Amino acid sequence: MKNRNNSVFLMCFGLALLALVLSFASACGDSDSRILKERADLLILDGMKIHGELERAPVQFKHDNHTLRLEAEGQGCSVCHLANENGTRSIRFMRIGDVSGKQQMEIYHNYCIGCHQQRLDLDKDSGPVTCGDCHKNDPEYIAAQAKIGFSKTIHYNHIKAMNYNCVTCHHETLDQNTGKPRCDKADAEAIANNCQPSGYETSCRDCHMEKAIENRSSIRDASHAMCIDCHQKRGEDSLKTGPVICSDCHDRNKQILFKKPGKVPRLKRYQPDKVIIGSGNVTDELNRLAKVEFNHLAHENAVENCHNCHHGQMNKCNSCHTTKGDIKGGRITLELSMHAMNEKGSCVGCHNVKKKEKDCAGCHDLMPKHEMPKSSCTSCHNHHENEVLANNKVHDNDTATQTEDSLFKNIPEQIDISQLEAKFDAARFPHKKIILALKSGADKSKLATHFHGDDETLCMGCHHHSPKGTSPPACISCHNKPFDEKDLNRPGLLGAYHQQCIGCHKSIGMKNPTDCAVCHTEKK
Amino acid sequence: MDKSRRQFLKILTGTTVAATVVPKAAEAASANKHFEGYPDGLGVLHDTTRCIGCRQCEEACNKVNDLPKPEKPFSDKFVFEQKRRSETGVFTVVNRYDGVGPNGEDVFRKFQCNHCLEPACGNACFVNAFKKTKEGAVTYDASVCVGCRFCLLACPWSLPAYEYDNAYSPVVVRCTLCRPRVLEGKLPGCVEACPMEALTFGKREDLLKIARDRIKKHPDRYIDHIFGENEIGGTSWMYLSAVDFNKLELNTNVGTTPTPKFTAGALGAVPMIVGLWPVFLTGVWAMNKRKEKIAADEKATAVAAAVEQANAEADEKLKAAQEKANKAKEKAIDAAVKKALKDAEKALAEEKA
Repeated sequence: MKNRNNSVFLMCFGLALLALVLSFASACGDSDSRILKERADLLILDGMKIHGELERAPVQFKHDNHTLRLEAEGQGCSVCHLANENGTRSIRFMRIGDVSGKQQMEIYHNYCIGCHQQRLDLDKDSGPVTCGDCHKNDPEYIAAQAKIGFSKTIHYNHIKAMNYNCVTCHHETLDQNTGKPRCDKADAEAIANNCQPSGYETSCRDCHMEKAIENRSSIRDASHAMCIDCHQKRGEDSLKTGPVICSDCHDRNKQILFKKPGKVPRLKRYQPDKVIIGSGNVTDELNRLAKVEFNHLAHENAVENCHNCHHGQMNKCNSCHTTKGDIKGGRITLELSMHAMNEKGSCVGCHNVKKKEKDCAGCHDLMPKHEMPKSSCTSCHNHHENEVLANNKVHDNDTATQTEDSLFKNIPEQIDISQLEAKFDAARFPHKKIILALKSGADKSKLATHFHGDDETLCMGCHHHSPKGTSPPACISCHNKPFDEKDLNRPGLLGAYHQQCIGCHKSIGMKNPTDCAVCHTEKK
Repeated sequence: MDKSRRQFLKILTGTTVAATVVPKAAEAASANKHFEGYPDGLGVLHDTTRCIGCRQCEEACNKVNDLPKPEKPFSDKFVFEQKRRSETGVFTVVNRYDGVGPNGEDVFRKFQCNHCLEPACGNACFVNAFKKTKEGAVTYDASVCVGCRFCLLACPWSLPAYEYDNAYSPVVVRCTLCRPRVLEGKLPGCVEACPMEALTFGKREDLLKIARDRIKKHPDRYIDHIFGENEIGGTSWMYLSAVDFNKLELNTNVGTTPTPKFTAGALGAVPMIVGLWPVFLTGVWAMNKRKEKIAADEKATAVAAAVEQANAEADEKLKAAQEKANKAKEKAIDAAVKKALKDAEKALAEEKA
C-alpha cells in the first residue's frame, strides 16, 4: 500500500512538472518574433488552390536564383517557359494553358525535382528534392514586389529606344495579318473593337484586366510576356535594354536606378489642355452646380503617371463615375470621386497630399482635416456657361504676380511678444520675414496660388478663425485663459503661441524647433 | 421526529430565499455597477503629440509641493537618457522615448499617478489611506499608512513610489492632482506651467469630448484611442498618442475591469455568509442535540421497561420453581408417609405371624 501511494505521488509531481515546462516552452517558442526577410523575386506557388484545399504549405520560389544560375550556365528562359503558338513565351511553368490539379502537381514535381536531382547527380549545386524542403512550414522570406508603373519617364525611355515605333507594344493598332491600321478614327466603333488608332494608343490596362478574359491575358501575364521577352531579345542583340530578372524591376532600391532624362516631352495622345468637368450628360438635371475648369496640361506636368487619375482605363472620369453612381465606377458617384479626402486619385485627396509638403505643411498641418473649407468650392467650380475664355485658358488666380509692395507694406518688421513675461524675456517675432517666407514658398506652386486667391489668405495661416483682411486680429483678442468650459477646444494664450509657432516649425522641418532660446532668452 | 423535519425544512427555505436576495443586493452595490466617476469629477488630458520635453511641469510640481531641489536642474535634457519614475521628492517625471514617433522622432510622455476612477491602490490598502474624492483626485493619508507597500504592487502601472531612504517615517510618493489648489480654483501646478498645453485640465466628460474632437479633426496625427477612457475601469488622467501606447510604456494590457470588481463578488458575499451561516449551523447543531436527547430518553425508557420485564419473569420463575419444590416436597412426604405406613403395616403383619 505504501509503495502504491508513492508511485501515485510521483506521477502527479511528474505531470505538474511537465505542464510547467510545456507552458514555458510554448511561451518562448513564438514564431511571431522572427522577422521575415523581404525578397522582390519571391513567388508563392499556391496555384493549386484553385483545385481544392492545399495539403501542404505553399512553396517559396526564388525566381532570380534560378534565372541567374541558368544564365551563368548559358541557358535561358526556355528551360522552364514554353513558347506559345504566336511565338511569345508562356509565363507559366512548363505549360501553356490550364491543366487539371493532378497534372499541375505532376508537372511541378517532375520538372522541379527532376532537374534538381539531375544536377545533384552531376555534382552541381542544386535545390531541394524532398517534400519538406520545398513545402516549408516555417517560411524564411516574404514576397515584397514593389509595384512598377509605366510612368512618363519610363514611357519616354521606351519610345526613344524604339524610335517612336508604337505598334511594337500597342499591338492593336495594326492588323496582325495585313499590317494595315485596323481603324483610323477614335470613334465608337474603334473603341468597341478595342482598336487604337495611331495617335490614340491607349494604356495596356484598358484591355488587359487583373484577370484573364477568354484568350486575352491578364495584365500580369501580358506585361511580363511583352516586357521581359523584348528586353531579353534586345539583350541578346547587345542593344540597350531593360530589366529581365524580378528584382531589377520590383525592388524599390533598383527602381531608383532607372534612367531619368532631364525633361520628358509631353506624352501626345491628342488630349485636351483644358477640360470642363461636369457629369458629361447635358440632360442630367443633377448637373446644376457651376462646372469645373480643369487645367489638364498643368496636371499632366504635375504627376508622373497618367494612372494617378486615370486609374484602370484611360477614359473620362464621368464615363464610369456618374452623378448617381454606376456599377462600372464601383458605385462611386462623381462627387465622391472628385472630393474624397483620403484617396490619392481624387482631386481633393491629391491636393491634401500636396499640402503635406514642407512649404505648405507649416500652416496646413495645423488645420482640421475632416472637412474642406467652404470657401474653396468656387476656386474650382467657376465655369460660367456662356463665358468664353481666350486661348484655351482657365480661370487662374495667379497671385505670383503680386509684389511685396502691394500688400505687405504695413506689416511690422518685428513684434516683441511680452504679454506673458515671467521666466523668459519677451519673444522676438520677426513678423515680416515670416510672411515673406510664406509667400515665396506658396508662389512656387501653382496649386497654392490658385487656391489661395490673393496674398491676404496667407495671413489666415496664423490669424485664423477670423475674416480675411489686411488688419487681422491679434492673438490675445481671442486667446486668454485656458480651459474655458464655454470653448473647450480653444487654447489659452500661452498654449496658442507655442502650439502655433512650434507646430509650424515642426512641420516645415526646422532643426531644433523646441529650443526655447531661439525665440526668448531666459531671464537672469 | 416529524416536527424537527418540518422545522429543518422551514429553516432551509428561509436560508435559500435570503441567499438569493442578499447577494443581488451586494452585487448591485459593488460588482455589477460600472462607476463612471463622480459627476463633474476633474481630470487631465495629456496629449503626447504636443509634449516637447521642456520639463516645466516637473519644475512647477517641485515648486508647488515644496519638494527638495533636485541634483540636476530642470533644464538639463541629459536626464532623458534614462527612463525615470517617481521617487522620494519627485512626484512626476517626463520620459523620452527615442525614435518611436511616426516619422522616427522622439516622443515625450509625462509619468504620474493616473487617479483611477476605482483605484487599485485604494482597494489594496487595508487602512483606507486612499480615497477617491469628488474632485477626481485620489488622495493619500500618510498619517494612517503602515508602510506595507501593497499599493505599489496593486497599481497596474507601478506608479506610486516609496521613501525607502527615510528611516523613521517613510510615506508613499505620488501625484496629488494638486487637490488643495484645485479646491481654491487654481490649476494644478504642472498644467499651469505647460507652454504647449499638452496638459488640458477640466471635467473628465469634457476631456473625453475634447479628445474625440482632436482625433476627428486630425486623424493622421493620433491613434484612434484615448488611453484611460476605459482602461482598468477608467482613469482621471488620460492620454492621446501618435503611436502605440505600449511604446510609451503605457501598458494597455490591463483590461477594462476596475480592480475592486475582481474581489467585489467574494467580498460582497461575506456579510451574507457571516450573518446566515451561524444561524444555519446553529440550527443544525440544535437539531442534532435534540435528536440525541430524544434518543437518550427513548433508550432510558426502553431500558427501564426491559429491566422490569426481566424482574417479573424472574419472579415468576422463582414462584414456579418454589411451587415445584413444594410439590416435590409434599410428594416426598407423601411417599415417605406411605412407605412408613407400609412398613408399619408390614411390621405389624410380621408381628402377627
